[in-house]
Amino acid sequence: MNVIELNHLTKHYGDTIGCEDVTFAVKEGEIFGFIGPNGAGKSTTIRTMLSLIYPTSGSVTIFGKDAITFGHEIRKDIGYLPSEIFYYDKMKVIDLLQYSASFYDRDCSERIQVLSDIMELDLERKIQDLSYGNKKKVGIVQGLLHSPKLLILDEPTSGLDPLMQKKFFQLIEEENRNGATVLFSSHILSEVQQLCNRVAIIKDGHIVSVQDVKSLREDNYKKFSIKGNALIQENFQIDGVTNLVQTNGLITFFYKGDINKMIQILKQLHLQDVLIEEPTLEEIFMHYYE
Amino acid sequence: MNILKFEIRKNLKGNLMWGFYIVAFTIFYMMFYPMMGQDQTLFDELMSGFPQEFLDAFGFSAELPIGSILGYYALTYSFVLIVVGIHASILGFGLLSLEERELTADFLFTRPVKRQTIFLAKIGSMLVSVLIVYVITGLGFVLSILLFNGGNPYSLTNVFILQSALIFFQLIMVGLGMSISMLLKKIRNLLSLGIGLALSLYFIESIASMIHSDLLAFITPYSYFTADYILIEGTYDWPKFLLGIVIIAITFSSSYFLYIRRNIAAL
Repeated sequence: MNVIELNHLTKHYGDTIGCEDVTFAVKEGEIFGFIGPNGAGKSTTIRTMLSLIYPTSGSVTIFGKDAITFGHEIRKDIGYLPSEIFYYDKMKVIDLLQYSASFYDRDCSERIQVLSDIMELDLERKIQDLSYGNKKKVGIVQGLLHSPKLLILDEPTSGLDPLMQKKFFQLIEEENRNGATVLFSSHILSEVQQLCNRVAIIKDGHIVSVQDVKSLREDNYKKFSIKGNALIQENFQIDGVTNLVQTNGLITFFYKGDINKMIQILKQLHLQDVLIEEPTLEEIFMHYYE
Repeated sequence: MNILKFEIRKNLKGNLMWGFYIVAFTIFYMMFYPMMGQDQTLFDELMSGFPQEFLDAFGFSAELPIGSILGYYALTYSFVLIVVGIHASILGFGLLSLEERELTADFLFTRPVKRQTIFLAKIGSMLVSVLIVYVITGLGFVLSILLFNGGNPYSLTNVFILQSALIFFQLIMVGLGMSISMLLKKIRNLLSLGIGLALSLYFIESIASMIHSDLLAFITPYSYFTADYILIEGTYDWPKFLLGIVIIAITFSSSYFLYIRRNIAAL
């Protein structure tokens, strides 16, 4: 079953495009990555799912219901963590969390306690006295306190130190094991690599690709670094080679295709060294961004 | 209900402060009446020395001499109306824009409630704010007339009619502020917008009565419920009153539609 279905979702702000013809689906129980550089349309897409903004055309379906018409029902089971956290400054953390809990028809006080213990959050402090990272923790507890079935995380890790980030990821993974579906938006690929099963890549408001994180790395590109005297760049210009760069005695390129063909070429050359490695996701994605 | 309770609690202190200042202002002005009331004729003669335009601008009228307690009350009322107008207009500008100004929109609008519900809760909390100032202001006036009438005769009936009109004036100002705030992308400075709107409408009313322009008078809610008209006639200025009701209906309903369709921009 699909928890989220985006159907040709388009949002224009006057002449500027927020996102255009965005179509993808997130299955129940998966951790789905949503990747793109800043300003690519990630937040626009996410804010439409929460009916914070209204689409120009196209539709969003969450839990099988239209996200605009049934927004208030859908949001009972959504936990949302925005990239920038702002709360009513003068409130105490505990008062804000209880106010948030008052919107859901279940007792959340135990969850508040458990979650804030994990995130080491002081409940008695005023929100205006909190550091950026601590506000983020309030956001995390607030997003999880009603045990949502769908977690929407919009660049959630900014401002968290590595230790907290690790705890946060463990928390997300645990929620996921307990059945929660997760949409994880980020521009940091390594964290998506770490958490997600599948990923959608967005650029200039358009979805460029939806792929398995694993297949993205294993089946596609290999990164070759070849050292030798008198290497000729042209030797490597076969189908499937990209980003061919020669600097002195070193040639690097990405190759996608039959690995035997490349080995045949290498066989004929006199080499000093060769390195064939998995490209990082960053390197893979540079193709989409260029 | 939780939003309503939250909003009322958030605004209670501020509203009580406004109420307190308005009453202090009222009593401070009305306190001087007994001294003036003693030399009523002298004072009225003094006023007649001023140019007519000046008297018109400040709402002095021959039928309601300033030396009489109700005349003096009418004058004070027109000043208090500026302050009440500022309160209502700031309230209107701030009501629906609160979340976007304090950047808490992402929080409130992602709760499992309809925008309609949020709107209604906000209108509810606004009515509480308006009523607090309305009741406190009314009590302040009645009290000061009872205390400082200087032994001059007066009838409270028309005072009650005038005070009853105040709430319509407040709602018009709230409605104007609210609908303008929904047309703007972002409210940056609540105070200057609120004070700006109230003072410019007051200024228009001064000019309108100075040049006796009915057209201008229809533009500004300050002239819909003028003290001298109601105190002399003992009834509302009906055409203007009805216009006021229409303005309330239009501004509130347009604010509603703009609010529920509003795009909450990312920060």
